[in-house]
Amino acid sequence: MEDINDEDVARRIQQGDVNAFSLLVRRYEAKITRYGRKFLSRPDDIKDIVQEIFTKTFVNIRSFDAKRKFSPWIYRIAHNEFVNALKKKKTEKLAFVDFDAFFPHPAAKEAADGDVERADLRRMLDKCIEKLPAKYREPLILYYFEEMNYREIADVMHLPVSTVGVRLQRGKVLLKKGVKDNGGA
Amino acid sequence: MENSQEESISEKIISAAESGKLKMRSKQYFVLRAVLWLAGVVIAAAALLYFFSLLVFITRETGIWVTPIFGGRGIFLFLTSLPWLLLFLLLIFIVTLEVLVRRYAFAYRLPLLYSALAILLVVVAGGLLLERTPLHSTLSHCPPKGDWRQNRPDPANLPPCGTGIYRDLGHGRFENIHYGMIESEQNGGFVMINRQQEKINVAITERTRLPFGKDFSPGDFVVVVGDRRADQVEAFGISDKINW
Repeated sequence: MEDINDEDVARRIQQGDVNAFSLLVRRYEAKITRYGRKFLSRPDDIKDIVQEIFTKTFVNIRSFDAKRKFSPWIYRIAHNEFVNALKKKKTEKLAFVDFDAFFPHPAAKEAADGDVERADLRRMLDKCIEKLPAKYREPLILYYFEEMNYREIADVMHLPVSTVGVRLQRGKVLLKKGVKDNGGA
Repeated sequence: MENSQEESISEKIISAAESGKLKMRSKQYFVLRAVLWLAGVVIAAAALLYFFSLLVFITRETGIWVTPIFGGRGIFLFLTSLPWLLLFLLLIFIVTLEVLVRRYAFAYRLPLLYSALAILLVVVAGGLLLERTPLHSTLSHCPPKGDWRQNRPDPANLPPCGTGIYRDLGHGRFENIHYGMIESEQNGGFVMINRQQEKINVAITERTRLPFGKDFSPGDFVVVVGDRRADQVEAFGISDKINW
């Protein structure tokens, strides 16, 4: 059971094997909680939100197409829940019109960071994530911690793929600048 | 600690599911939702095509699109005569359609500008094609273009040309723009017959603007701009270049 992939687990749940859901919770709870912690600047209610995410995952599992990858689908639910939580808290301004998503950007190639640079950036992210604007924070988390590609991030955030690339580039620059301003990571 | 929390989350959900408090939504629910969403897209797209073709129909049939060639007053007339309510409706439906299609991966993976331009392109091309069909002439009870004068119906047996939405948005609003066919020439002007089968005496004065000259004769379709008093119009501008 532990060996089967997420998509097959989801298929089993869709067919009525309710107990298989515990496997998905075991695989994703820590990840979603970490995602939430980085996503929200004040993570007081993360536990409740994570539970709500899994409840919605269970209720809506039959809308998941098991031919596609499971992780972007569950992160999409998580994204919506955390964005709603942000809106309720009103601690961060969420732009009504997203100009980054409006205009085309030059096709951004997927960054080929080396393992060392990736580890460095992950460390920087851990330290300075809260100083970054929310719109840069999320793609960085999905890319460096959840190891999604641009297209999967686009599916989670419902953004153009080129916008994801631009935000990752700008986010990295801001991150490095923030670390520099603070006297290094 | 996280492990115990994980247990509690999965246990809570599984026990709620087993007791029937928490139910998975059925496949049919999602199919129905997808169908309704798609129906929304189709309805919004159809409404856009209809409203855009109506806009073209009104501007073409009333001749308001030629008025800017008469200078400042013509531009003012053009702007005040445009069916702004219709333009506002078009804007609302474009935004609605954009919101509806952004749910689909083919749309959200592209910049919003591209999907908005694609919608505009489809609406403009489709609307122009739709305007060429007899749809609006039929719905407005206006005889088809080119046919209304030749097969002159008996006005007593025909509803007024431009009824309902067509009258509110089109013909009825244009006090100073007159579109019709020259029936006969007369001293200092001509007699024009409009779609409502009214005869209008058009007076040409020294002040009348004729951007394309005065080379018109009976049978020509013209747009006349000028204040109407009873069946008299002192022309401020006349153009016979109205077909496009």
